[in-house]
Formats: sequence, structure tokens, C-alpha cells
Amino acid sequence: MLLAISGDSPFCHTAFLKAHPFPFPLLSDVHRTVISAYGVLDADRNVAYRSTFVIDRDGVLRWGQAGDRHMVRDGSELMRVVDLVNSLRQRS
Amino acid sequence: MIPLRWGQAAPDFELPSTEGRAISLREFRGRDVVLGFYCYDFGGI
Repeated sequence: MLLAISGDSPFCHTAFLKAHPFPFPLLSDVHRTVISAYGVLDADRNVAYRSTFVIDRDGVLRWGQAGDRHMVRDGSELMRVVDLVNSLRQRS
Repeated sequence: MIPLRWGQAAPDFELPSTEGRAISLREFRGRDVVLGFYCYDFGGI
């Protein structure tokens, strides 16, 4: 499951989703509480750093990556991470 | 604030979503979750 989070309002998210019909929900963190809890608040701009976290099926934080707005996310690399997390989880 | 640690429970949350309801992390227990934070809408995800 992919969840996308930014500090934008639900109104803005709805307009964005209408323009780009992503197959995943957009979550609004207008108070930046979740962005801060995950340590990815760019305080200078008051927005989230472009960043990615993998949480396994037990709710355990397994992997993360943070960059600036130019960071390119590689979906196939991400799937390899998820597969690795699962294989390690099964062995433990 | 709960410190972020690898191998520990990820901080739970509940936020308004484009599904028309609040979505929490805990409701996906039993499924792998990828969180993608981004700067702002219309700026590229």
C-alpha cells in the first residue's frame, strides 16, 4: 500500500488528484505533525522533504530515504527493498 | 515526540485523505506500507 503525504490541504489534494489520477490516496498533514514525527520537515520552507519509508506488515519501520525536491524515486528499487524486508522478516 | 528507530514500531498517525475519510497507519497492519512524503501538490510527487 502506498500512502502519499504532504502539507497540502484536502481541497488542494482533491484538485491535484483530479489533474493526476494517482492510484493511491493523498494524505493532508496541514499541521506538519506526521512530517515532523518522521523527521522530514524542511523547516526553512515548512514543507516535507521528498522522502520514502517502508513499514512492514507488523507496523515496524524498516527502511527510509530522504532527499531534496530533486530526489528521484525509483519504484523498482523500492520493490526490491520491500521484498528484502519480507525475506528477512520470514527468517527472523 | 517518539524517536524514530529502525526495527521499532513506526509512528502511527491519522490524517484526512482523498478517500473522503481519515486514514491511519494502523489500519494497514498485515500489509506492507510505503510512505511517500513530498513537498507540495503540483510540484511533482
